[in-house]
Amino acid sequence: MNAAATPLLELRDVSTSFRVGGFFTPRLLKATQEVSFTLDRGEIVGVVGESGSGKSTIARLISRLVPTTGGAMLLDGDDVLVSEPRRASLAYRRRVQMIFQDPFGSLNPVHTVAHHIERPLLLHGKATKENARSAALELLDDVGLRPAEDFIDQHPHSLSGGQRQRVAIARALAPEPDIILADEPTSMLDVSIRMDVLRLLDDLRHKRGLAILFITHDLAAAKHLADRIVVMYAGRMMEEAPADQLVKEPAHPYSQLLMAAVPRRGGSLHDPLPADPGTPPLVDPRPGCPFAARCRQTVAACTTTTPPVIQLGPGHRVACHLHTARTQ
Amino acid sequence: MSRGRSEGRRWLDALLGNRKSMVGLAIVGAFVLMSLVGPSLVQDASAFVATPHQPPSAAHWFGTTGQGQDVFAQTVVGARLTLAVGFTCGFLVIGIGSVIGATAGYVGGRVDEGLSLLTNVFLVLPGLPLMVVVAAWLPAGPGTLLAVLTLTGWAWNARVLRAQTLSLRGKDFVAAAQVSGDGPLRIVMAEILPNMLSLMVSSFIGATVYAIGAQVGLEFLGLGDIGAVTWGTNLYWASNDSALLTGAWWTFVPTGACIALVGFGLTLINFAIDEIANPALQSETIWRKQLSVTPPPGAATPVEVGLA
Repeated sequence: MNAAATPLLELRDVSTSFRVGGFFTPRLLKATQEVSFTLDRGEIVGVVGESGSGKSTIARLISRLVPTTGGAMLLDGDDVLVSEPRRASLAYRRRVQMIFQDPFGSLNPVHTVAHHIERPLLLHGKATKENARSAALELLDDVGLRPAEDFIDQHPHSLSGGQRQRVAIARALAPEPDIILADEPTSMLDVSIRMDVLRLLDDLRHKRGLAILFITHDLAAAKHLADRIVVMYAGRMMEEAPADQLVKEPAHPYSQLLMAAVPRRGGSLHDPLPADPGTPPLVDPRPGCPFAARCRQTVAACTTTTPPVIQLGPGHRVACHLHTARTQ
Repeated sequence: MSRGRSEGRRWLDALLGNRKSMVGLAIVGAFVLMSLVGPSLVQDASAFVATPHQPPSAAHWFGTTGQGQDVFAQTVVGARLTLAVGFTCGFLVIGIGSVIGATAGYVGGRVDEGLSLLTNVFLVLPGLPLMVVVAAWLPAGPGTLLAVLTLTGWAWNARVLRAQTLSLRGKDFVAAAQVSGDGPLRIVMAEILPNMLSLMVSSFIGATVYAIGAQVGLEFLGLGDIGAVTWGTNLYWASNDSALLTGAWWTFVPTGACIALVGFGLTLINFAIDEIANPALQSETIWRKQLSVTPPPGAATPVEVGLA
């Protein structure tokens, strides 16, 4: 494989599970199973799914906050799970940064904005003690907290949610990373400032050539921001397609459900959804497709074998027996 | 670091601005000062100076003991060892408690199980009988008292601080520090501990009150060094010399009052710290201050007072 074709980040069949239940009834919660996708420089990939679909776990896996139980994670073609198995190296930390969902929890209430931004600058040698403050001011200006002088000595409690999230973004930018994992960065914000934060992420991608993994349950936001969208359900990847294509012609019944759940003009809140209600089966899942219990288009194979991921078109992959049958 | 200074400054301002803590600090400060300079200003506390069991007089302000010693001198001199053991024990208890508690809470897994087991064993050990047995077994003296009090006192703090560490460990700012590349020691020291500071300070004060009380109790039972002059041995000798039978109230009332006052002062400081650390109580105080001042006409609505 030549250098040009090597993606910045590639996940191959990454799985992880957590032990849950009591001492006498240990059970395995399979948070992600065999998830594969790539992320390239300057690209935004959206990961969409409902609560419990494993989308946040993906971000925590890549940021090495939770351990993987299988698969490979390649950064520039180098499997980091092999080269640094126990904990991530400082070099990896520098390249992969994360923005958390809750800006009220991700900033330490006892520290000032300056501390939050100067710390990664100093840790990764991006500034010296002397110029850390001016570098931090510059970052605050970059994320739209102007005038930065007014914000740098504040404690988090005196900032609004949107301002805090911008501080969190500035902190993630401090080590000059290649990848930013944005775990539902707008879901805790007021609707009125969501767009600003999304626009900021888009600007950063263009100006700095960042790769962004944008995790969200908001399909509309994903369509706006992302180049490609990965749809997850119960820890498994259901479909991956270029954003426009996924929205226009979703191939997987679950993607169709997600699309139908987006409120649109002329629609009614009482319109029936194309699937049965239910929750993702995570603990001791049965064989077959995890969505089978809610799907209205099931075939016999759905409850017996896990559908393989097949290629539908350029950049369009789906894991569904309906399509497996059609392509064979 | 300028940040550390300003944080300390905030605490100082808050403590000095609170009436309860002002009174508490004044009482405790007066006793600490007395224990530092007092012994060199009064006469020899162990010397036989007058007829035993004399009531308070101009020559002997607090009267004399059953051994003919000056009660005022004994009260002043006794403060030094008592407070020294009390505060040192407070430091040791909170030190051991936070190291064990924070380690167990942050590291988790087997380490947590082992340290929690140790903590629980010390928690279920009956404290008072253990204190009496160990104090009687070791050679009497302030070192023994310190060891006994620390041994029986650390577990509760370890448990409280473990629980607090555990809840802070799950916060996103800890995960964010990990993603930034910070190591475990740095995360505990710089991210988690500062959030527990008020809890640690109030635990320290609680531990000191406990240590002073328990130490006086042990010495009253005769388990301390009865040759030394402390508040505990003062009470021991008062009881030994039948102070109650002979009606010599002045031999135990001054020492008893001092112990009660120090405990009262420390408790007042603790109340104030609760108010400072609990934003709900704090904002209530701020509002009360705001409401007592009529704003001048045309003044802007106060949005953020004294917090930033």
